[in-house]
Amino acid sequence: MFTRISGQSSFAGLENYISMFRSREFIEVLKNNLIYAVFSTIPAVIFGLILAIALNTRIRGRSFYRFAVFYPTILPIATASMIWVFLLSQSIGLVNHILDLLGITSGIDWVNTSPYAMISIIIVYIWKYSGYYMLLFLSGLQSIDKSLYEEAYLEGASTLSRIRRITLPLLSPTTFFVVLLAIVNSFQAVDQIYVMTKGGPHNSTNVLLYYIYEYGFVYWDTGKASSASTILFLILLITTFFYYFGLQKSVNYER
Amino acid sequence: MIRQKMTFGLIVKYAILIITSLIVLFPLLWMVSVSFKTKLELFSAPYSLLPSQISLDNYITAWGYAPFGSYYINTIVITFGLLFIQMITVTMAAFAFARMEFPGKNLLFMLFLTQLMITAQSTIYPNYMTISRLGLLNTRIGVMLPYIASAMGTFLLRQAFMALPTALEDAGKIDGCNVAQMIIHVFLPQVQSAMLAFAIMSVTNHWNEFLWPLLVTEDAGSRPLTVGLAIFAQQAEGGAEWSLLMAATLMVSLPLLLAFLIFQKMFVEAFISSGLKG
Repeated sequence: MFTRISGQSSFAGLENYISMFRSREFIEVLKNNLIYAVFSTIPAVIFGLILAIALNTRIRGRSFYRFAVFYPTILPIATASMIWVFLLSQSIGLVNHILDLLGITSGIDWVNTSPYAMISIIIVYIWKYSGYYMLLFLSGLQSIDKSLYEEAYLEGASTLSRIRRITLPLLSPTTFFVVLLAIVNSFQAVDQIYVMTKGGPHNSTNVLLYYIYEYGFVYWDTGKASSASTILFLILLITTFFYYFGLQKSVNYER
Repeated sequence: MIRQKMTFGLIVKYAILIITSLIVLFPLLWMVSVSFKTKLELFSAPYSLLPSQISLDNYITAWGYAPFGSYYINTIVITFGLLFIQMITVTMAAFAFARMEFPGKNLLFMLFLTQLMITAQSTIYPNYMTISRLGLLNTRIGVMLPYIASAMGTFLLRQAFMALPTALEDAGKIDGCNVAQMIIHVFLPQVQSAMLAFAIMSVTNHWNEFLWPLLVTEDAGSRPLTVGLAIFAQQAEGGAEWSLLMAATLMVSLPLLLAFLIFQKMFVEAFISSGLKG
Protein backbone atom coordinates (compact mmCIF):
# COMPACT_ATOMS: atom_id res chain seq x y z
CA MET A 1 0.00 0.00 0.00
CA PHE A 2 2.67 2.42 1.07
CA THR A 3 4.96 1.71 -1.87
CA ARG A 4 2.02 1.99 -4.16
CA ILE A 5 1.22 5.48 -2.93
CA SER A 6 4.79 6.68 -3.14
CA GLY A 7 5.10 5.03 -6.52
CA GLN A 8 2.07 6.91 -7.69
CA SER A 9 3.34 10.24 -6.42
CA SER A 10 6.74 9.90 -8.05
CA PHE A 11 4.95 9.09 -11.30
CA ALA A 12 2.92 12.27 -10.94
CA GLY A 13 6.18 14.15 -10.41
CA LEU A 14 7.50 12.98 -13.73
CA GLU A 15 4.16 13.78 -15.31
CA ASN A 16 4.76 17.41 -14.36
CA TYR A 17 7.85 17.54 -16.52
CA ILE A 18 6.25 15.66 -19.40
CA SER A 19 3.28 17.99 -19.52
CA MET A 20 5.62 20.96 -19.27
CA PHE A 21 7.66 19.86 -22.24
CA ARG A 22 4.42 19.21 -24.13
CA SER A 23 3.12 22.71 -23.48
CA ARG A 24 3.71 25.04 -26.37
CA GLU A 25 4.24 27.96 -24.03
CA PHE A 26 7.16 26.34 -22.23
CA ILE A 27 8.84 25.21 -25.44
CA GLU A 28 8.47 28.78 -26.67
CA VAL A 29 10.07 30.05 -23.48
CA LEU A 30 13.01 27.69 -23.90
CA LYS A 31 13.34 28.73 -27.52
CA ASN A 32 13.21 32.43 -26.59
CA ASN A 33 15.86 31.94 -23.96
CA LEU A 34 18.07 30.11 -26.43
CA ILE A 35 17.69 32.87 -29.01
CA TYR A 36 18.39 35.44 -26.34
CA ALA A 37 21.47 33.52 -25.13
CA VAL A 38 22.95 33.11 -28.62
CA PHE A 39 22.28 36.59 -29.93
CA SER A 40 23.36 38.41 -26.80
CA THR A 41 26.35 36.26 -25.86
CA ILE A 42 28.07 36.18 -29.25
CA PRO A 43 28.06 39.93 -29.98
CA ALA A 44 28.90 40.88 -26.39
CA VAL A 45 31.87 38.51 -26.28
CA ILE A 46 33.11 39.64 -29.69
CA PHE A 47 32.79 43.33 -28.78
CA GLY A 48 34.54 42.65 -25.50
CA LEU A 49 37.39 40.93 -27.30
CA ILE A 50 37.81 43.64 -29.94
CA LEU A 51 37.74 46.40 -27.33
CA ALA A 52 40.25 44.57 -25.15
CA ILE A 53 42.66 44.12 -28.04
CA ALA A 54 42.30 47.79 -28.97
CA LEU A 55 42.80 48.85 -25.38
CA ASN A 56 45.82 46.62 -24.79
CA THR A 57 48.12 49.07 -26.56
CA ARG A 58 50.05 52.08 -25.43
CA ILE A 59 47.26 54.44 -26.14
CA ARG A 60 46.22 57.82 -24.84
CA GLY A 61 43.25 58.08 -22.50
CA ARG A 62 43.08 54.41 -21.52
CA SER A 63 41.28 55.01 -18.26
CA PHE A 64 38.69 57.16 -20.00
CA TYR A 65 37.84 54.40 -22.48
CA ARG A 66 37.81 51.87 -19.68
CA PHE A 67 35.38 53.97 -17.67
CA ALA A 68 33.18 54.73 -20.66
CA VAL A 69 32.78 51.11 -21.69
CA PHE A 70 32.73 49.44 -18.28
CA TYR A 71 30.39 51.68 -16.28
CA PRO A 72 27.15 49.93 -17.42
CA THR A 73 28.35 46.79 -15.62
CA ILE A 74 27.96 48.40 -12.23
CA LEU A 75 24.55 49.95 -12.96
CA PRO A 76 21.53 48.02 -11.69
CA ILE A 77 19.94 46.19 -14.62
CA ALA A 78 16.64 47.72 -13.56
CA THR A 79 17.95 51.26 -14.09
CA ALA A 80 19.84 50.33 -17.25
CA SER A 81 16.58 48.95 -18.65
CA MET A 82 14.74 52.10 -17.66
CA ILE A 83 17.19 54.26 -19.61
CA TRP A 84 16.75 52.05 -22.65
CA VAL A 85 12.96 52.02 -22.45
CA PHE A 86 13.21 55.77 -22.82
CA LEU A 87 15.85 55.66 -25.59
CA LEU A 88 13.68 53.17 -27.46
CA SER A 89 10.41 54.98 -26.85
CA GLN A 90 8.30 55.10 -29.99
CA SER A 91 7.39 58.78 -29.99
CA ILE A 92 10.35 60.64 -28.49
CA GLY A 93 13.04 57.95 -28.31
CA LEU A 94 16.47 58.85 -29.59
CA VAL A 95 16.98 55.53 -31.38
CA ASN A 96 13.95 56.03 -33.62
CA HIS A 97 15.02 59.62 -34.23
CA ILE A 98 18.47 58.53 -35.40
CA LEU A 99 17.06 55.73 -37.57
CA ASP A 100 14.69 58.27 -39.05
CA LEU A 101 17.48 60.76 -39.76
CA LEU A 102 19.50 58.04 -41.45
CA GLY A 103 16.43 57.22 -43.50
CA ILE A 104 16.36 53.57 -42.41
CA THR A 105 12.95 53.23 -40.80
CA SER A 106 10.72 55.29 -38.61
CA GLY A 107 8.35 54.89 -35.73
CA ILE A 108 9.25 51.40 -34.52
CA ASP A 109 7.37 50.45 -31.39
CA TRP A 110 10.42 48.72 -29.92
CA VAL A 111 9.31 47.13 -26.68
CA ASN A 112 5.76 46.30 -27.73
CA THR A 113 6.13 44.54 -31.07
CA SER A 114 7.88 41.36 -32.15
CA PRO A 115 10.71 40.86 -33.02
CA TYR A 116 11.79 44.32 -31.81
CA ALA A 117 11.05 43.53 -28.17
CA MET A 118 13.58 40.69 -28.25
CA ILE A 119 16.08 42.96 -30.01
CA SER A 120 15.54 45.57 -27.29
CA ILE A 121 16.43 43.24 -24.43
CA ILE A 122 19.40 41.94 -26.41
CA ILE A 123 20.64 45.52 -26.90
CA VAL A 124 20.52 46.09 -23.15
CA TYR A 125 22.51 42.91 -22.53
CA ILE A 126 25.20 43.83 -25.06
CA TRP A 127 25.43 47.39 -23.75
CA LYS A 128 25.62 46.23 -20.17
CA TYR A 129 28.04 43.31 -20.38
CA SER A 130 30.47 44.02 -23.26
CA GLY A 131 32.54 46.24 -20.99
CA TYR A 132 32.80 43.53 -18.36
CA TYR A 133 33.94 40.95 -20.89
CA MET A 134 36.42 43.49 -22.23
CA LEU A 135 37.89 43.78 -18.76
CA LEU A 136 38.23 40.02 -18.39
CA PHE A 137 39.85 39.71 -21.82
CA LEU A 138 42.16 42.58 -20.94
CA SER A 139 43.43 40.78 -17.88
CA GLY A 140 43.96 37.67 -20.03
CA LEU A 141 45.85 39.71 -22.62
CA GLN A 142 48.16 41.16 -20.02
CA SER A 143 49.37 37.71 -19.08
CA ILE A 144 50.60 37.07 -22.64
CA ASP A 145 54.36 37.39 -22.95
CA LYS A 146 55.14 40.73 -24.61
CA SER A 147 58.33 39.43 -26.22
CA LEU A 148 56.23 37.30 -28.57
CA TYR A 149 54.76 40.45 -30.04
CA GLU A 150 58.13 42.14 -30.35
CA GLU A 151 59.52 39.20 -32.28
CA ALA A 152 56.54 39.10 -34.58
CA TYR A 153 56.82 42.86 -35.01
CA LEU A 154 60.48 42.62 -35.96
CA GLU A 155 59.64 39.90 -38.46
CA GLY A 156 57.19 42.32 -40.01
CA ALA A 157 53.91 40.62 -39.10
CA SER A 158 50.89 42.87 -39.49
CA THR A 159 48.60 43.77 -36.58
CA LEU A 160 45.94 41.43 -37.91
CA SER A 161 48.23 38.45 -38.28
CA ARG A 162 49.70 39.10 -34.81
CA ILE A 163 46.15 38.96 -33.44
CA ARG A 164 45.38 35.75 -35.31
CA ARG A 165 48.65 33.92 -34.65
CA ILE A 166 49.49 35.03 -31.11
CA THR A 167 46.60 36.74 -29.33
CA LEU A 168 43.68 34.46 -30.12
CA PRO A 169 45.39 31.10 -29.45
CA LEU A 170 46.96 32.25 -26.19
CA LEU A 171 43.76 33.89 -25.08
CA SER A 172 41.60 30.80 -25.57
CA PRO A 173 41.38 29.85 -21.83
CA THR A 174 40.05 33.34 -21.06
CA THR A 175 37.65 33.13 -23.99
CA PHE A 176 36.33 29.84 -22.62
CA PHE A 177 35.51 31.41 -19.23
CA VAL A 178 34.04 34.55 -20.68
CA VAL A 179 31.73 32.59 -22.97
CA LEU A 180 30.48 30.41 -20.11
CA LEU A 181 29.99 33.44 -17.88
CA ALA A 182 28.09 35.14 -20.71
CA ILE A 183 25.82 32.12 -21.11
CA VAL A 184 25.10 32.00 -17.37
CA ASN A 185 24.27 35.72 -17.45
CA SER A 186 21.88 35.21 -20.35
CA PHE A 187 19.95 32.52 -18.46
CA GLN A 188 19.62 34.77 -15.44
CA ALA A 189 17.91 37.57 -17.33
CA VAL A 190 14.78 38.75 -15.61
CA ASP A 191 15.09 42.36 -14.43
CA GLN A 192 15.18 43.77 -17.94
CA ILE A 193 12.22 41.62 -18.97
CA TYR A 194 10.21 42.80 -15.99
CA VAL A 195 11.01 46.47 -16.64
CA MET A 196 10.93 46.50 -20.45
CA THR A 197 8.54 43.92 -21.90
CA LYS A 198 6.86 41.81 -19.19
CA GLY A 199 7.56 38.81 -21.40
CA GLY A 200 5.44 40.16 -24.24
CA PRO A 201 4.27 40.75 -26.84
CA HIS A 202 2.62 37.32 -27.16
CA ASN A 203 5.18 35.58 -25.00
CA SER A 204 7.96 36.56 -27.42
CA THR A 205 10.40 37.79 -24.75
CA ASN A 206 9.36 35.36 -22.04
CA VAL A 207 12.50 33.55 -20.85
CA LEU A 208 13.00 30.85 -18.23
CA LEU A 209 13.51 32.96 -15.14
CA TYR A 210 10.66 35.28 -16.03
CA TYR A 211 8.45 32.24 -16.62
CA ILE A 212 9.36 30.98 -13.15
CA TYR A 213 8.60 34.38 -11.69
CA GLU A 214 5.21 34.54 -13.44
CA TYR A 215 4.07 31.03 -12.59
CA GLY A 216 5.54 31.07 -9.10
CA PHE A 217 4.53 34.52 -7.96
CA VAL A 218 1.83 35.89 -10.23
CA TYR A 219 -0.28 32.78 -10.97
CA TRP A 220 0.92 30.89 -7.86
CA ASP A 221 1.25 27.64 -9.81
CA THR A 222 3.72 25.78 -7.61
CA GLY A 223 4.09 22.75 -9.88
CA LYS A 224 5.05 24.66 -12.99
CA ALA A 225 7.32 27.07 -11.14
CA SER A 226 9.21 24.25 -9.43
CA SER A 227 9.62 22.13 -12.55
CA ALA A 228 10.86 25.13 -14.53
CA SER A 229 13.22 25.97 -11.66
CA THR A 230 14.70 22.50 -11.92
CA ILE A 231 15.29 22.93 -15.66
CA LEU A 232 16.96 26.31 -15.09
CA PHE A 233 18.97 24.83 -12.25
CA LEU A 234 20.23 22.02 -14.49
CA ILE A 235 21.20 24.40 -17.29
CA LEU A 236 23.10 26.64 -14.89
CA LEU A 237 24.65 23.69 -13.08
CA ILE A 238 26.03 22.17 -16.28
CA THR A 239 27.40 25.51 -17.48
CA THR A 240 28.99 26.44 -14.20
CA PHE A 241 30.33 22.93 -13.76
CA PHE A 242 32.36 23.38 -16.91
CA TYR A 243 33.38 26.82 -15.66
CA TYR A 244 34.85 25.62 -12.37
CA PHE A 245 36.14 22.41 -13.85
CA GLY A 246 38.04 24.43 -16.44
CA LEU A 247 39.15 26.87 -13.76
CA GLN A 248 40.62 24.10 -11.64
CA LYS A 249 42.42 22.72 -14.67
CA SER A 250 43.84 26.05 -15.81
CA VAL A 251 45.00 26.83 -12.27
CA ASN A 252 46.87 23.54 -12.18
CA TYR A 253 48.22 24.17 -15.63
CA GLU A 254 49.68 27.52 -14.58
CA ARG A 255 51.54 25.86 -11.76
CA MET B 1 60.32 48.12 -26.70
CA ILE B 2 57.90 48.63 -29.54
CA ARG B 3 57.67 52.29 -30.34
CA GLN B 4 54.70 52.48 -32.62
CA LYS B 5 54.26 55.11 -35.25
CA MET B 6 50.77 56.22 -36.12
CA THR B 7 50.23 53.04 -38.10
CA PHE B 8 47.01 51.99 -39.75
CA GLY B 9 46.39 49.46 -37.00
CA LEU B 10 46.71 52.12 -34.32
CA ILE B 11 44.32 54.44 -36.12
CA VAL B 12 41.77 51.64 -36.31
CA LYS B 13 42.19 50.98 -32.59
CA TYR B 14 41.64 54.65 -31.73
CA ALA B 15 38.59 54.76 -33.97
CA ILE B 16 37.09 51.65 -32.35
CA LEU B 17 37.70 52.92 -28.83
CA ILE B 18 36.49 56.46 -29.39
CA ILE B 19 33.34 55.48 -31.27
CA THR B 20 32.40 52.69 -28.85
CA SER B 21 33.08 54.86 -25.81
CA LEU B 22 30.81 57.57 -27.12
CA ILE B 23 28.02 55.13 -27.97
CA VAL B 24 28.19 53.39 -24.60
CA LEU B 25 28.52 56.63 -22.66
CA PHE B 26 25.70 58.33 -24.50
CA PRO B 27 22.75 56.76 -22.65
CA LEU B 28 24.20 58.08 -19.38
CA LEU B 29 24.59 61.61 -20.75
CA TRP B 30 21.12 61.42 -22.25
CA MET B 31 19.60 60.37 -18.93
CA VAL B 32 21.32 63.26 -17.14
CA SER B 33 20.24 65.73 -19.80
CA VAL B 34 16.59 64.64 -19.84
CA SER B 35 16.42 64.64 -16.05
CA PHE B 36 16.91 68.42 -16.15
CA LYS B 37 14.35 69.14 -18.84
CA THR B 38 10.86 70.37 -18.09
CA LYS B 39 7.99 68.32 -19.46
CA LEU B 40 7.26 71.07 -21.96
CA GLU B 41 10.85 71.20 -23.16
CA LEU B 42 10.97 67.42 -23.44
CA PHE B 43 8.19 67.47 -26.01
CA SER B 44 9.10 70.71 -27.81
CA ALA B 45 12.82 69.92 -28.18
CA PRO B 46 13.17 66.21 -27.38
CA TYR B 47 16.50 65.68 -29.13
CA SER B 48 18.63 68.55 -27.84
CA LEU B 49 21.41 67.26 -25.64
CA LEU B 50 21.74 70.41 -23.54
CA PRO B 51 18.73 71.35 -21.45
CA SER B 52 17.82 75.03 -21.61
CA GLN B 53 18.35 75.38 -17.88
CA ILE B 54 19.71 73.34 -15.02
CA SER B 55 16.92 72.96 -12.51
CA LEU B 56 16.54 70.33 -9.86
CA ASP B 57 12.73 70.45 -10.06
CA ASN B 58 12.40 66.93 -11.45
CA TYR B 59 14.53 65.52 -8.68
CA ILE B 60 12.52 67.29 -6.02
CA THR B 61 9.22 66.20 -7.59
CA ALA B 62 10.36 62.59 -8.02
CA TRP B 63 11.62 62.49 -4.44
CA GLY B 64 8.20 63.64 -3.22
CA TYR B 65 6.24 61.44 -5.64
CA ALA B 66 7.45 58.16 -4.15
CA PRO B 67 9.09 57.36 -0.79
CA PHE B 68 12.64 57.39 -2.18
CA GLY B 69 13.97 58.40 1.22
CA SER B 70 12.78 55.11 2.74
CA TYR B 71 13.96 53.19 -0.32
CA TYR B 72 17.42 54.71 0.14
CA ILE B 73 17.53 53.77 3.81
CA ASN B 74 16.40 50.22 3.01
CA THR B 75 19.01 49.75 0.31
CA ILE B 76 21.75 51.11 2.55
CA VAL B 77 20.72 48.98 5.53
CA ILE B 78 20.38 45.84 3.39
CA THR B 79 23.62 46.37 1.44
CA PHE B 80 25.90 47.35 4.28
CA GLY B 81 24.20 45.17 6.88
CA LEU B 82 24.81 42.21 4.60
CA LEU B 83 28.39 43.25 4.01
CA PHE B 84 29.00 43.41 7.75
CA ILE B 85 27.49 39.96 8.41
CA GLN B 86 29.22 38.45 5.38
CA MET B 87 32.58 39.78 6.51
CA ILE B 88 32.21 37.78 9.71
CA THR B 89 30.85 34.54 8.21
CA VAL B 90 33.20 34.60 5.24
CA THR B 91 36.32 35.24 7.31
CA MET B 92 35.57 32.42 9.71
CA ALA B 93 34.69 29.92 6.98
CA ALA B 94 37.66 30.88 4.81
CA PHE B 95 40.05 30.62 7.75
CA ALA B 96 38.74 27.18 8.67
CA PHE B 97 39.06 25.90 5.10
CA ALA B 98 42.49 27.41 4.56
CA ARG B 99 44.24 26.93 7.88
CA MET B 100 42.55 24.29 10.00
CA GLU B 101 42.30 20.53 9.83
CA PHE B 102 39.03 18.85 10.71
CA PRO B 103 37.19 15.69 9.62
CA GLY B 104 35.02 16.13 6.54
CA LYS B 105 36.85 19.29 5.47
CA ASN B 106 37.13 18.31 1.83
CA LEU B 107 33.55 17.15 1.62
CA LEU B 108 32.34 20.40 3.19
CA PHE B 109 34.45 22.43 0.81
CA MET B 110 32.99 20.53 -2.13
CA LEU B 111 29.54 21.47 -0.86
CA PHE B 112 30.69 25.07 -0.73
CA LEU B 113 31.86 24.91 -4.31
CA THR B 114 28.49 23.51 -5.30
CA GLN B 115 26.91 26.58 -3.81
CA LEU B 116 29.09 28.66 -6.12
CA MET B 117 27.48 26.85 -9.02
CA ILE B 118 23.90 27.18 -7.83
CA THR B 119 22.94 30.73 -8.54
CA ALA B 120 20.47 32.44 -6.26
CA GLN B 121 18.06 32.67 -9.20
CA SER B 122 17.27 28.99 -9.42
CA THR B 123 16.41 28.80 -5.73
CA ILE B 124 14.08 31.79 -5.41
CA TYR B 125 11.02 29.62 -5.07
CA PRO B 126 12.17 27.43 -2.13
CA ASN B 127 13.81 30.50 -0.55
CA TYR B 128 10.53 32.36 -0.75
CA MET B 129 8.74 29.49 0.97
CA THR B 130 11.32 29.46 3.77
CA ILE B 131 11.17 33.19 4.33
CA SER B 132 7.40 33.07 4.22
CA ARG B 133 7.18 30.30 6.87
CA LEU B 134 9.63 32.18 9.07
CA GLY B 135 7.23 35.10 8.91
CA LEU B 136 9.93 37.36 7.47
CA LEU B 137 8.14 38.49 4.32
CA ASN B 138 8.22 42.25 3.87
CA THR B 139 11.14 42.73 6.25
CA ARG B 140 14.71 43.83 5.54
CA ILE B 141 15.95 40.71 7.30
CA GLY B 142 13.93 38.61 4.87
CA VAL B 143 15.68 40.34 1.97
CA MET B 144 19.09 39.75 3.55
CA LEU B 145 18.75 36.26 4.97
CA PRO B 146 19.52 34.13 1.87
CA TYR B 147 22.80 35.97 1.41
CA ILE B 148 24.35 36.03 4.87
CA ALA B 149 26.95 33.49 3.80
CA SER B 150 28.79 33.95 0.55
CA ALA B 151 30.46 31.09 -1.28
CA MET B 152 32.28 33.49 -3.56
CA GLY B 153 33.65 35.50 -0.64
CA THR B 154 34.73 32.35 1.18
CA PHE B 155 36.45 31.12 -1.96
CA LEU B 156 38.28 34.41 -2.60
CA LEU B 157 39.40 34.79 1.00
CA ARG B 158 40.43 31.16 1.34
CA GLN B 159 42.75 31.60 -1.64
CA ALA B 160 44.23 34.68 0.01
CA PHE B 161 44.70 32.92 3.36
CA MET B 162 46.31 29.93 1.71
CA ALA B 163 48.85 32.12 -0.03
CA LEU B 164 50.20 33.39 3.30
CA PRO B 165 53.32 31.73 4.76
CA THR B 166 52.98 29.24 7.67
CA ALA B 167 55.57 31.25 9.57
CA LEU B 168 52.86 33.84 10.16
CA GLU B 169 50.79 31.33 12.09
CA ASP B 170 53.80 30.20 14.12
CA ALA B 171 54.63 33.76 15.05
CA GLY B 172 51.06 34.27 16.20
CA LYS B 173 51.21 31.09 18.29
CA ILE B 174 54.46 32.14 19.94
CA ASP B 175 52.83 35.44 20.90
CA GLY B 176 50.05 33.42 22.53
CA CYS B 177 47.17 34.31 20.19
CA ASN B 178 43.96 32.31 20.33
CA VAL B 179 42.16 31.59 17.05
CA ALA B 180 40.08 34.77 17.12
CA GLN B 181 43.09 36.95 17.87
CA MET B 182 45.05 35.15 15.21
CA ILE B 183 42.42 35.91 12.57
CA ILE B 184 41.90 39.53 13.59
CA HIS B 185 45.46 40.62 14.32
CA VAL B 186 47.62 38.33 12.21
CA PHE B 187 45.70 37.17 9.15
CA LEU B 188 43.14 39.83 8.28
CA PRO B 189 45.67 42.67 7.91
CA GLN B 190 47.44 40.56 5.27
CA VAL B 191 44.43 40.00 3.04
CA GLN B 192 43.05 43.51 2.76
CA SER B 193 43.01 43.54 -1.03
CA ALA B 194 41.02 40.30 -1.24
CA MET B 195 38.65 41.65 1.40
CA LEU B 196 38.25 44.90 -0.52
CA ALA B 197 37.56 43.06 -3.77
CA PHE B 198 34.89 40.99 -2.06
CA ALA B 199 33.36 44.07 -0.40
CA ILE B 200 33.08 45.88 -3.73
CA MET B 201 31.42 42.88 -5.39
CA SER B 202 29.04 42.36 -2.51
CA VAL B 203 27.96 45.99 -2.33
CA THR B 204 27.50 46.22 -6.10
CA ASN B 205 25.49 42.98 -6.27
CA HIS B 206 23.17 43.80 -3.43
CA TRP B 207 22.70 47.46 -4.30
CA ASN B 208 21.59 46.26 -7.74
CA GLU B 209 19.55 43.24 -6.67
CA PHE B 210 16.06 43.24 -8.12
CA LEU B 211 14.07 40.00 -8.38
CA TRP B 212 14.44 38.73 -4.83
CA PRO B 213 13.45 41.99 -3.08
CA LEU B 214 10.65 42.39 -5.62
CA LEU B 215 9.21 39.10 -4.38
CA VAL B 216 9.62 39.49 -0.64
CA THR B 217 8.89 43.18 -0.10
CA GLU B 218 5.47 44.77 -0.20
CA ASP B 219 5.83 48.39 0.87
CA ALA B 220 8.24 51.22 1.57
CA GLY B 221 9.10 49.74 4.96
CA SER B 222 11.46 47.22 3.39
CA ARG B 223 11.51 47.88 -0.35
CA PRO B 224 14.91 48.84 -1.80
CA LEU B 225 15.68 51.44 -4.48
CA THR B 226 15.72 49.20 -7.55
CA VAL B 227 12.26 47.78 -6.85
CA GLY B 228 10.95 51.17 -5.77
CA LEU B 229 12.11 52.62 -9.08
CA ALA B 230 10.37 49.93 -11.13
CA ILE B 231 7.12 50.48 -9.25
CA PHE B 232 7.47 54.25 -9.58
CA ALA B 233 7.97 53.73 -13.32
CA GLN B 234 4.77 51.74 -13.65
CA GLN B 235 2.88 54.62 -12.09
CA ALA B 236 4.66 57.34 -14.06
CA GLU B 237 4.97 55.72 -17.49
CA GLY B 238 1.31 56.13 -18.30
CA GLY B 239 1.64 59.89 -18.09
CA ALA B 240 4.94 59.81 -20.03
CA GLU B 241 6.72 61.45 -17.14
CA TRP B 242 10.09 60.72 -18.69
CA SER B 243 11.95 63.61 -17.05
CA LEU B 244 10.80 62.52 -13.60
CA LEU B 245 11.64 58.92 -14.42
CA MET B 246 15.14 59.74 -15.62
CA ALA B 247 15.73 61.88 -12.53
CA ALA B 248 14.66 58.95 -10.35
CA THR B 249 16.78 56.52 -12.36
CA LEU B 250 19.81 58.73 -11.86
CA MET B 251 19.13 59.00 -8.13
CA VAL B 252 19.17 55.21 -7.89
CA SER B 253 22.37 54.80 -9.93
CA LEU B 254 24.36 57.78 -8.68
CA PRO B 255 26.01 56.40 -5.51
CA LEU B 256 27.59 53.44 -7.31
CA LEU B 257 28.53 55.53 -10.33
CA LEU B 258 30.31 58.04 -8.11
CA ALA B 259 32.03 55.28 -6.16
CA PHE B 260 33.16 53.75 -9.44
CA LEU B 261 34.41 57.10 -10.74
CA ILE B 262 36.51 57.64 -7.62
CA PHE B 263 37.73 54.07 -7.04
CA GLN B 264 37.87 52.95 -10.67
CA LYS B 265 40.99 50.87 -10.22
CA MET B 266 39.68 48.95 -7.22
CA PHE B 267 36.37 48.19 -8.96
CA VAL B 268 38.20 46.94 -12.02
CA GLU B 269 40.42 44.66 -9.94
CA ALA B 270 37.47 43.37 -7.92
CA PHE B 271 35.44 42.51 -11.01
CA ILE B 272 38.40 40.76 -12.61
CA SER B 273 39.21 38.70 -9.53
CA SER B 274 35.63 37.59 -8.99
CA GLY B 275 35.08 36.89 -12.67
CA LEU B 276 38.08 34.73 -13.41
CA LYS B 277 39.41 33.42 -10.15
CA GLY B 278 36.21 32.35 -8.50
